Amino acid sequence: MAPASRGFDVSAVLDDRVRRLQRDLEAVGQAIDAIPEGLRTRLAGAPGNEIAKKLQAIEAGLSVPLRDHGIHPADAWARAHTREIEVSALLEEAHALVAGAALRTPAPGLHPRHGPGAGQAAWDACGVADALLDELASRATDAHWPSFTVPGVTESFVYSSRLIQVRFPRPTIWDLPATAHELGHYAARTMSEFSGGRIRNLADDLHVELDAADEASWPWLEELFADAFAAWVIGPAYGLTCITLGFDPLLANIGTASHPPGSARVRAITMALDATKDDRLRWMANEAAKLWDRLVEVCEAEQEPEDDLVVPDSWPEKIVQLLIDHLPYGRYSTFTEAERLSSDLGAPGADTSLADAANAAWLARIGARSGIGVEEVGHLAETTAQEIAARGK
Amino acid sequence: MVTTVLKLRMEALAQHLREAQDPSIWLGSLQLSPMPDKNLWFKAVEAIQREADSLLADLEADLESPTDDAEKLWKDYFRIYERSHEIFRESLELLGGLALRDRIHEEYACRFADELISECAEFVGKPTSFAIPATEDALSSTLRRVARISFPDWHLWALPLVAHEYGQVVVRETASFDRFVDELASQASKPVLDENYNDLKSALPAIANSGLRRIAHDQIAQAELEPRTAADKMESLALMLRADEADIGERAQKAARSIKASLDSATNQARVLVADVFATYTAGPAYACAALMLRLNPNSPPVPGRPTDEERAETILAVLAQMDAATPNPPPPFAKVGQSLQSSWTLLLDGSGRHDPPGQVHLDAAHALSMIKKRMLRDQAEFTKADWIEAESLGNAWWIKINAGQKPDVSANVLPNIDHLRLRDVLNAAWQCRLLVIEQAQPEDASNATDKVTDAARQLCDRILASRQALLAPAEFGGRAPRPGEASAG
Repeated sequence: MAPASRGFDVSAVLDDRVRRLQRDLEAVGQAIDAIPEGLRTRLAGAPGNEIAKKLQAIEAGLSVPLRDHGIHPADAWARAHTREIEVSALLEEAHALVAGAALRTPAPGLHPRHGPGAGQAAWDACGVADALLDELASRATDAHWPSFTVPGVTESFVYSSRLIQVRFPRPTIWDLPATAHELGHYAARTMSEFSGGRIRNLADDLHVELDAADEASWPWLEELFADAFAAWVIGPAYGLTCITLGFDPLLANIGTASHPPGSARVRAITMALDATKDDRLRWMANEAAKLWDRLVEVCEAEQEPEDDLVVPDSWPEKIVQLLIDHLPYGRYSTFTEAERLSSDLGAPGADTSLADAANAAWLARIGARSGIGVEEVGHLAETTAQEIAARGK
Repeated sequence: MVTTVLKLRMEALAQHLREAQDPSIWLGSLQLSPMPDKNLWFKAVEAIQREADSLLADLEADLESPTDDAEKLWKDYFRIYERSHEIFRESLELLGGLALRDRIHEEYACRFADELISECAEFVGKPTSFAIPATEDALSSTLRRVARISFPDWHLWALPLVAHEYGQVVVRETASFDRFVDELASQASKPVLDENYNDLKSALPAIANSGLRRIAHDQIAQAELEPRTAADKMESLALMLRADEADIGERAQKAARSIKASLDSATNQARVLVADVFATYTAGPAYACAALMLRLNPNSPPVPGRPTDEERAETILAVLAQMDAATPNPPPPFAKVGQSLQSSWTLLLDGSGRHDPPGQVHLDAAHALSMIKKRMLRDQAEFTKADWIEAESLGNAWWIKINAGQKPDVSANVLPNIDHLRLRDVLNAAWQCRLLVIEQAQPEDASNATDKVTDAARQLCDRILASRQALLAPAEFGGRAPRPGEASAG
């Protein structure tokens, strides 16, 4: 005999939706298990912990109250909606991780070379980017970077999985320094100090000190920190990548909701280079700033809107001071090696780092060796970078 | 150096476009097994290649341009750069989705989705396509001709939503539907368009040159008559007035931007709603259930270019009611499932607090349905009363078994003849059974009962697919398998 119908009530529908959220999270776990082991081990426990936390929150905040009839349907719906938004953000990250891992998994000819580099080993941009970020993180962050890079439309950092995306379709040696900026976002969230009986996040303290904790200014300060961090740890290569290939000079004075104006970012970069106290880096910083000013001038960049948030001078100053005080070991200090390598890009030394290779490539490109084409410089530098990255494996 | 920087950026972008221009190179290196059907793949990436070609040509023209106008060249560069990002995004989603589909162990949802798409393609007489996993909130594709299946819930219950995805492809590719979408968008945008025209008309008397004034007047009148080209008309009016009437030129420029934004948003909304009509009509109550029970959220925040979920639910339910109304003999077949869905949706709406943002596209479901039937669909497209009666009966039989603590048996012993079944029939049977689970099972039993329905439906879908795909090339997916009535199984 059929049981009495409970009817089509809202709690039954909610039950069903809550189960869907749980199933989604379990499926994410299974999908992450499908990532090739070599990459999956880099992730450590981060995604698993996120999934477990969300499952616990759904169980305690929704499943149990719904089962015990201890929650008003409107409240339950509001909670379910909030959880759906959180879960959907997690799904998006998981998709980027899993699809990205599948896409980057090296296969012969995955990134076919054209032109001068044709016929050489395939350029494994994501593998080299991982090695570069490991190298920078080992000098400049409090914690090992527990993730990997995947191809993305543009460089970006995903907070919960620590995933860093590199530019699709074929990130070149010129694009790689931009990943240092993304690592800066990770560094900001992990840079801490034990004082007063507790661990404080230094970037958070800076937000408070500079009165930049509100919705509008928080992302700007975070971006400026990542810019200064990148210049501090990888040297002039980052500024040259941004100015030459990245920032929009037409919008030099106009910020967006997420990013401060390009000119403010250039200031943070050049101040960080200045702070290295290395005359050659200071000279590079000065040249980069002059180049940016000329670009802005010829483009007749739009003026800053009157009601826009303005970046106070104190922000880059304080950010750079934070780097000097807390990441002295992270400073890029081997520019001499980059200069040496720039005159013979195919001859890395035993101690040549990937940061050196990136700087050497830029030095060669801007004229240290005139007569050699940009494409050829790029391929030579990529081959060298790949060789250096392979040493760490 | 300043000019060199621009040149370098253009060259780098050109190189990236050349790399993205032919996603087939990447496809080959992904080493998929099986590969997508070759024809379908070329069809899927055709628009990506065309767009990349066109951008590359623009870029090369700029690189060879003798102009010294740095501001113009930089603006051109960033315009091409932004459009290139769209290509990169679409290529990345396509390749990442294919790689993901390939790497997931025992992946079945995409295989089933391919078959559903193939069924839908047959209804409209258009080439079929294939499915890739993508995130639910991913932006709609305008370039690649591939349906998305939501990651990671690529389970059986979300499958009917694929009919909507394919519906969007069909709407874009069918001229009469594109026009219909334009009409809907123009209606929805009329207040915004009128406000802009009135603003400009009020400024016309200030134009000193009478000839210029008359031309401006004519341009506005033409824009009113032809909303599709209204933004372009305002753009050219702005250019014309820029030299002598800078202030009014600026207002025309602002009007062009506002009109374009409003029409683009309304067009996207209309496409979604028309695709809902298509999906409900062809996939039947299974689509309505999947959309209302799993996907749509009452009181979700408005997203530009998307209709509200309330509007979509209303459209889907209205189409079910229209399908009932068009059935010659009573009782109306979809009334019961429609009422169940309506009552659950109303409960959710009441519980969440309603809102009705302005400027939304409202679709006359009856009109949209008659348009679809007349201009686009072939016989057998409609999910009919007979189809639903059979699905309902299968679903009820499953529920009786589950309620008795057993598993539904869909083996050849119990269901020997499945030649007449399509995947949409199985999904409708599954949803019918799941509604009974939601309505009648005790809460503690619901999860286990749902799993049993899933298993039964999946097994039956596998049987149907196995019988059809035996005739397909085993190394490819997405090909056209024989339909019921065309060939017997195996």
